[in-house]
This record gives sequence, structure tokens and C-alpha cells, in this order.
Amino acid sequence: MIRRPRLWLMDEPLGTLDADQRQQLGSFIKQQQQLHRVTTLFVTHDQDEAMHLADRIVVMEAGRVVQIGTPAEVYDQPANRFCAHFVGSPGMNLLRGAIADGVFRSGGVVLPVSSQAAGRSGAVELGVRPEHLRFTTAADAGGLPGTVILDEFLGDIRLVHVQIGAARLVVRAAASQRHAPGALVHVACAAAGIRLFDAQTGIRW
Amino acid sequence: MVNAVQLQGLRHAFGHNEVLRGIDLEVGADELVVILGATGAGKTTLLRTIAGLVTPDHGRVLLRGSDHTHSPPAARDVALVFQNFSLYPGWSVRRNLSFPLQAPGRALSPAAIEERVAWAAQLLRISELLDKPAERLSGGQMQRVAIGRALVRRPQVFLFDEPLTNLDAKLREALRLELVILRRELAIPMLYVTHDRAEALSMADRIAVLKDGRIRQIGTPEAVWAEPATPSIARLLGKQAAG
Repeated sequence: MIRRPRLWLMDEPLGTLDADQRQQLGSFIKQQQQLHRVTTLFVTHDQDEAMHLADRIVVMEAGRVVQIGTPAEVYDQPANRFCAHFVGSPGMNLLRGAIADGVFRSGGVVLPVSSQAAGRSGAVELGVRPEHLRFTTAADAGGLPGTVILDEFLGDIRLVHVQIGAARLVVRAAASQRHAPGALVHVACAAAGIRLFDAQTGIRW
Repeated sequence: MVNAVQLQGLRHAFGHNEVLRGIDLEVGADELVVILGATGAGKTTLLRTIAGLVTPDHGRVLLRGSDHTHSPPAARDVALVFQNFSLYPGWSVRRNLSFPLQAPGRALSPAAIEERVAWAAQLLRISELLDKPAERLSGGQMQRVAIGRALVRRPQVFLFDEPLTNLDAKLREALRLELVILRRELAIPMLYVTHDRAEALSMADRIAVLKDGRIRQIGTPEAVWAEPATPSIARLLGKQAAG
């Protein structure tokens, strides 16, 4: 940095640091980058780091660029199933199934997806982020019955892993909402959070 | 029930550098305690005193109630999994897993060894890799085999020294879950060292925060998160606004 070049190339410079140092040094790099207005290409396998630092993220998979976009675009509109799973901690929940007549079915999971499917049908993978799933009651229409496998406390939130039919979904829940393993629960899915990916190519519909 | 591990007043210095400055800690019979601390806090030295790789200058190490402060590592029935997966690269996974059971003095029949290896492989979902040479495995597979090698001995206590640190973020998340589920199935006491707050919060029954060779706070993840004892603990847990 001290040489003040016109281009900074950074190859996982924070990779081996402790978590809190990583965050501090990451913020420092970003501040310096904005202050000196230096074009920067920053390589990382840590998608969290990419989200925090980037103006734009270039997602690479097996030697190919699969998506270029702002962090919000890549997070919200992943170009394919790889981006969907790779970005986010944890990544998007993905369920293999099929769509017919605007309804997605996958071993016990039934979800109306007519607006996303827009008349198409066939084999798909349905993606939904943990924050677009929530716990509901049995009485609530559309709640999917399942069993809690694991409850991970992460301080500000919980990640609750739920078995629903053959599928295992991660639900983001309030830190105060503790779920014992084995508990029977119902999970509802926000329609706006559903993304569909082609079962063969993985590309988003 | 007697504690799996009990540390009493542990002190240790390397030259003038006092790394452990009076550690008292108990790990219950089926408890998972996570030692959370930054690099240089003394985490690894602490584990090594329990495993018998370091003899502390002062204090006692009790395992299942008996004093093991000066016993050799082999007499402790403790398994240690390192950050760097130390496998024999030219050997198959099966041979890597069997090796700890073939040590002289372990009277296990070949059939019994075979059975243990199959059991560990199934738990860690590496059964289909048994005949692969270790050097051909991915990082996540290698770390599973390294855990398997500790597991086959059916130790009384499991010690983990940042076992996921060298893996990439996605793999770390996946293996974190597997370890929690594995531990629930096995009910073996574990002491798990990490600097990763997500691992500490999500895995631990109790978190012990280590700084400069002392335990600064100990409690359930919920309690430590809700009431961090110092601003530096709040930062270690990623609470930005605190302090």
C-alpha cells in the first residue's frame, strides 16, 4: 500500500488472521481504498469478506466467471445454484423437486410457486434463504411440518436445522427462540424469497 | 458424576514468557467446553498439558478424578485432533485409521480393529474412501480421517485444537454441524479450542474465554453473549456496539 500504486491486487491477505483481526484489517483496507481511490482486485474464498468489502463481486467456479454484480445482487439474485449456495452463511437452502401447475413438490414439501414458475414446469431446484423461512403454528395454512435436528446459537440469531420429509432446511430464528432437538415444528416459507434453478444446468429460471 | 477433566492452578512458562497463569477448569462427564481466545492466549499449551505433551510448572491435571499431571500421553486415554491434519500420505485411509489400534500393548484382534475402523468410518461418512490413499483426499475428507483416527481409540476425552481453521468457510460450517451431531451420538466429553466465535457459540455447552493465560469468563453461550465480562470479550464475540 505504501508504494501508492494505481492498482492493488490482493490475494487472500486476511486468510490466516483471527476473526476479529480479520474484520479490523478488512475495514482498514476498505477505508484506505476509498480514501486513496485505488482500483482494487481482491481475491478471497470467504464470501463474508467479499460481501463486506466489495463494490462488485465476481463469483468464479471451476475457472469460469459465473456472476458479476453488487453484493446485494449476488445475494438476492444468484445467477445459478453454485452462487446461491456459496454466498451467504449458511448458503441458500436448496431442494430438488418438480413443478407442475404452479406447485413445487419434493418428498413432503409442497409449495405454491406460480408467480416464480410463470407457467413453466419440470424438474427444478428450489432455493430459499434461512431468513425467508420462519416458524409458525400447525393452524397456519401452508406451514410445513418437520422435526428439529439442531439448534445453533450464534449470539444475535439462531440457525435451526429442521428435517422436513426428505429435506433438511436451515431456518433463521430469533436468538430468544430456543428449539430442542426432536421438537415438532411448522415452517412457513415467504413466497418472495423463493428462487428456482434449472435441475440440469443449475441456472436460475 | 466425576469430572472428565479437572485443572487446578495450572501455570506454565516458556523461558520468561508465562503462557498459563493459573488455570482452574472442569469439564463434566458429557460436556463440550469450548476455549475461546485470540492467537497467543495460551489455548494450545493448555490442551497440550492435558494431553501430556507439556508438563506444567505448577498445578494439577486430573482425569476422571485421578492425578495425571506427570503421566505419559499414552497412559491418559485422551485423543488430540490438531489443526494440521497429520495423516500418513502414502497410506490408505483404512491403514491410517487402523494404525492407532496396532500400537504394542493394545490387545485388539484384527477382526476387532476392522470393526472399529468400519464404525468410525460410518460415523464420519468416509466408508467409501477407505481404500483411497490419504494424499488424494480433499481437505475436508482429510480432517474427517484425522478425527476418525482419534475416534477409533474410543478415548475418554476428546481434545480439539482448532480442527476446522485450515478449511474453507463452507466446509467449516458443514463440519461444525457434523461434530455437534457426532458428539451427541457418542456422548464423549470434549474440550474444543478455537478463535472462531461462531464455532464457540454454536457448539459449546460452556464457553471459557482465555486471555493472556487466564480464564476471564466462563458460562453458557447465551450467558456469555448476554453479559460479556469485559469490552474485549464483547469484541471477541463480535458484539460491535458493546463496550
